[in-house]
Amino acid sequence: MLTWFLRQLNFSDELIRHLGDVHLDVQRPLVLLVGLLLLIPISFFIYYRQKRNLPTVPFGLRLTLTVTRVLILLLLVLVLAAPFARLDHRSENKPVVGVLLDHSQSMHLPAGLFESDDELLRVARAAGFRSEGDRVEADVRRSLNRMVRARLAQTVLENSARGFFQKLGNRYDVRYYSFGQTATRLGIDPKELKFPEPPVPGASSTRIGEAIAQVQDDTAGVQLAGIVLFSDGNNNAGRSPVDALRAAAAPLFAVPVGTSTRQRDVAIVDVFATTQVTVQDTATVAVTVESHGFEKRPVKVVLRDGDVVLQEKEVVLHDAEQQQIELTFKAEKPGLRHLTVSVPVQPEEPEHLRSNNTDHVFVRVSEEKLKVLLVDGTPRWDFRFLKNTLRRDNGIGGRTAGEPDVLVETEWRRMSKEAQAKALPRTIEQMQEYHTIVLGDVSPTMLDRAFLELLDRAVREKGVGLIVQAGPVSMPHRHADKLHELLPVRLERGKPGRQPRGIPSFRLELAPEGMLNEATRFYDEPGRNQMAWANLPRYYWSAAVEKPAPGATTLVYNPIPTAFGKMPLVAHHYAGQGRVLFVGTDETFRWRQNVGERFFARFWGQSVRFVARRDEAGSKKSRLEARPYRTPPGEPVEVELMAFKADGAPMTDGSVKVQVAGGGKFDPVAMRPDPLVPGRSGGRFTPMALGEYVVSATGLASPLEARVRVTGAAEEMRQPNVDRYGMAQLAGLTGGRLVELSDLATIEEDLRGESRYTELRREISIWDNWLVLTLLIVLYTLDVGLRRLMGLS
Amino acid sequence: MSKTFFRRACLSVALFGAALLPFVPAQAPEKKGPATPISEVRIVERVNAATDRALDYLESKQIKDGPNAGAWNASNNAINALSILAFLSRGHVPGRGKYGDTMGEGGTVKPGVLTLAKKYLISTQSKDRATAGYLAVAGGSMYAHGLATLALVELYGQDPDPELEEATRKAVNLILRSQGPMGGWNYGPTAVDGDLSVSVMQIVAMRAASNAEIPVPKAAIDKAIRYLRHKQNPSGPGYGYAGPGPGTCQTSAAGVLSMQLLGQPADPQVEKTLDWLMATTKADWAGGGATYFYYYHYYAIQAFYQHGGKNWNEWHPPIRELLLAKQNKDGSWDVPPGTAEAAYAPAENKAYSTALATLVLNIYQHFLPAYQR
Repeated sequence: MLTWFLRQLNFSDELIRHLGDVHLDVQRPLVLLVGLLLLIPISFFIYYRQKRNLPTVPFGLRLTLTVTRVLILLLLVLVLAAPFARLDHRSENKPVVGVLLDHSQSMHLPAGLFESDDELLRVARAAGFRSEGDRVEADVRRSLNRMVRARLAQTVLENSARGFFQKLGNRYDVRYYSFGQTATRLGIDPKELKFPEPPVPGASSTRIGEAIAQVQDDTAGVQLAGIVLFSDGNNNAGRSPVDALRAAAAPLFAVPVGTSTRQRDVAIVDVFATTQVTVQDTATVAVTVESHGFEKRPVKVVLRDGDVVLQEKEVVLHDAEQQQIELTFKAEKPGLRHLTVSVPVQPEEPEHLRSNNTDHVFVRVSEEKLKVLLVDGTPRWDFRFLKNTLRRDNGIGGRTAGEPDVLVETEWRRMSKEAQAKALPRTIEQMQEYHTIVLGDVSPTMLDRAFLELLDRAVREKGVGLIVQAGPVSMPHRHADKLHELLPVRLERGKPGRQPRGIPSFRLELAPEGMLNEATRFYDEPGRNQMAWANLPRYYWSAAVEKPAPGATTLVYNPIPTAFGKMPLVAHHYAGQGRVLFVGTDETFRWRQNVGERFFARFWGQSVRFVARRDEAGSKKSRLEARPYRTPPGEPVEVELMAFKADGAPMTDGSVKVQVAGGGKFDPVAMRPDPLVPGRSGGRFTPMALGEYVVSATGLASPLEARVRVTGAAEEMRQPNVDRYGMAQLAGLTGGRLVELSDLATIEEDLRGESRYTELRREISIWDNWLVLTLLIVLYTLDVGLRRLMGLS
Repeated sequence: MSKTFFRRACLSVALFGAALLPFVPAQAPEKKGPATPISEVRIVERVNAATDRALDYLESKQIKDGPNAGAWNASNNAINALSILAFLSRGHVPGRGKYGDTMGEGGTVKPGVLTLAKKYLISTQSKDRATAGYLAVAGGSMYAHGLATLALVELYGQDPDPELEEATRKAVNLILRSQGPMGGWNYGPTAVDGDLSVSVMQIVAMRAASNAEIPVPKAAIDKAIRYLRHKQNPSGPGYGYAGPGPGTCQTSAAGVLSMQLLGQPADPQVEKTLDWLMATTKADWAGGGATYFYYYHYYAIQAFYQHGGKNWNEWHPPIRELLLAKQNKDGSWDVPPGTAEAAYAPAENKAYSTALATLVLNIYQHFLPAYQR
């Protein structure tokens, strides 16, 4: 009611919120004073005049008539004095300290074993256990060794660090967050400091970067004094914590929770296989094993297809050194093979670290090799590595030979005219034999107008896949529009490329679409994939891309801004029936750094297959694809349908229905038609349960099917040790540092920022509103009405 | 001829010394504190930091002005080539990045380390008809030519300079022209069979050229394979220096790598020799069985890497840790005392040892196309 009343007097929300600091005043105090002084004799005058003129009127009525007239005059005096309300408010804006509590699955690992007495003593004291002298009692030792990491962090906060954080609340706005896959602000009373039990079993990934970004978002416009991170440091998904910290511009105090002793563990940290091989080929599966606590112990790495052992090899374990081993198997029948790689569980390995002894890989065995043509301008490093990678790929061959067809312009130039003419495909029949054509930094001399015309037809009409990798000499800035029109990007005309002027180097950023796409998918787990891309080395040359072509999809960005947003670095689209992929740098060889073939071969092998011609010799058969073949629950799966009638005409009437069966459900998939490619449509679904999902399309001449396997993500337990080194590195980047659980009180001296005070001053007039007018009218009407009713003059 | 004799004499002395090694009292192992467990990431960072410092050292030792601008050593292109390869092995390519070309005042381009070095190498190439393409006119014999050709081949393609292409083709042609009737190479640019040590340098360069699509006749490859098979020990592991036999650890490691690069990784002599090297040599600053410490480890780590598996897993950590421990504060490396390479690395310019140590450590980078597995 009061609020309503105040609003009628023009009080704004700010004034109502700080009502205690609102004062009333008048603009013309002299008018008010004189008016009030004059009003006293006038009031007497009115009363005596009424008494003389209206002697027969009862006293009550006479008094009422006098009061209404005096009140009208009083109101007029007040209006003339111009009363107003003034707000004088001073508010304190405390800098924010974000406290991030890691509640991922790995934080449910035991905090111990604390092998060093000194470390145990420090942690015991921090957690509030009493200790006599320098000894920790046996039951305390047992208790701490069994306590899970998340619980230990909260115990320390509720005990030894309680006073410190309560005191910190006087100077800072301390906000507590729980994070794993997402970050949620906890409603913690800073005076009580009582935390809810950590969620069980915890989040399936740790996204430190996302959590930092959440704190930054929540504190927009407020100073961020620092971030205190309680974690085991195993960031395995989401955006890069380094980038998030740079954006937040606040010091990070990384608090490692758990023992510094490495756990005894054998883990398969990476498995890589060529995704497609041909029947009768020998496929290679490269396995990387890391271990601790089993120095020089021989173990067998086993490759299985179901229960059948395909190959096993012995590897001798070395602490902290990754061991690489290659296993092979002969692909005997076509189809999708779901292979398992495992290292036997060692008796000393704790129960919770046994899941990382196994990993899976998919291999598609086809009856025909993909036919690939690779052409480049010079033997640049990308060309050399790519050529060898393709040659080694058992699923790839050439038009006439078992190996891909390779041609480099520097040698082509030295050929006779006849040999030059034969070196490249010159008829549509020859060109459509290829599934994929890869063009490097080739000049228009070699890729002449006739070749480009043919290439355009082969891609648009026959569905031949095309990959164009840019280069500073010719590609694509020196080429005719015919080639540019095929590309999924639009470039700055005539500009050979960009070098990182003003910054040391360029970096890569995986676009949201790139997380799903099979070309840019290094790992099935999206978080792990994103991390892998975020950690790829920087580079020094990029094509001068302006924007994606209409309908194109950007997979990877060079995040420098153009007039149209971030610069696309890897993008694809459909040009007619064929897919075209553009790679805007000639430095993918850098992806070999420290890992060899792992990412370089994955990207190129998958890209060549992603764009490859699907239909035999350009015939138009319907097809249904679901990607990725394997995914963790809760991650989207993309469905692509190409629908043709029996006569090869595209089906555009929406009569084809797509459904997905899995997890005990049968749901339709909403398909969106591609306006640029008749017959093509795409959709998505998100599987939530483990197991196999079958996507089917009905309404076609013959029904189609695609399968997706949903498996649990093992990322959380792949690196089970507390990554103190990584945490220290991260903190060091921001001007923060690594802080032990027992030293939390030392954080305050390094927090940035002081309280800022805001003066809030507002003045509003409180007389020019309808309430005053109504009051005046009511009083006047009362006076006139009473006189009329009583028949007075 | 006299040089050959001198080298053979040196080698014989070294082998004699090596034969006496078992009678030398063993040195007590150094006492070490408890090993701190380190993760793979940390290993990589330590190695990168070490090789970055080494490249800064090499950059500081490059001659920047005058007629020898671009060189590290004006009388031996082997050292210049190794220095170029050290930069390339860390992913530094001509014109780009930290050591790339820069814009000076008035829009002039200031050539970077690799551009300067490339120009120097090309400027030293023989224009004489008989020795056209020879890159060791100033000294260093076919050793230097093989290494310089390898450096040019690795630069070629990343740098569109037509002069570089021409010089590279000429250098490769000289190697092909100089192959002896048996398939080997000698110290001079003539078609005479010499020893395995100098032949290996040509084989690596030839293989790199083939990888860069420069035509290398199959006959030359086949002859080189026959030559290597002729040099292998008929009754056990190893590759001989001048004739068939076990040779030294240096010639054996070089022989293995040559066989691998020539497409013979499954040759039984390869595995046998690697097992033997694994058993008889080690990463040790006192030599560990090698007379030419850097020469040996340059070839050995590549050979073990190419082979992969158990031997690679066992081999690389000790040599890595040894080199990391022995790096000087200025980023350079010394030649281990008592080994045979001291003459190549004087105190004022340790480009030879620093470049080779960098190449050994940069095995983890996987950048040099010539050494792709």
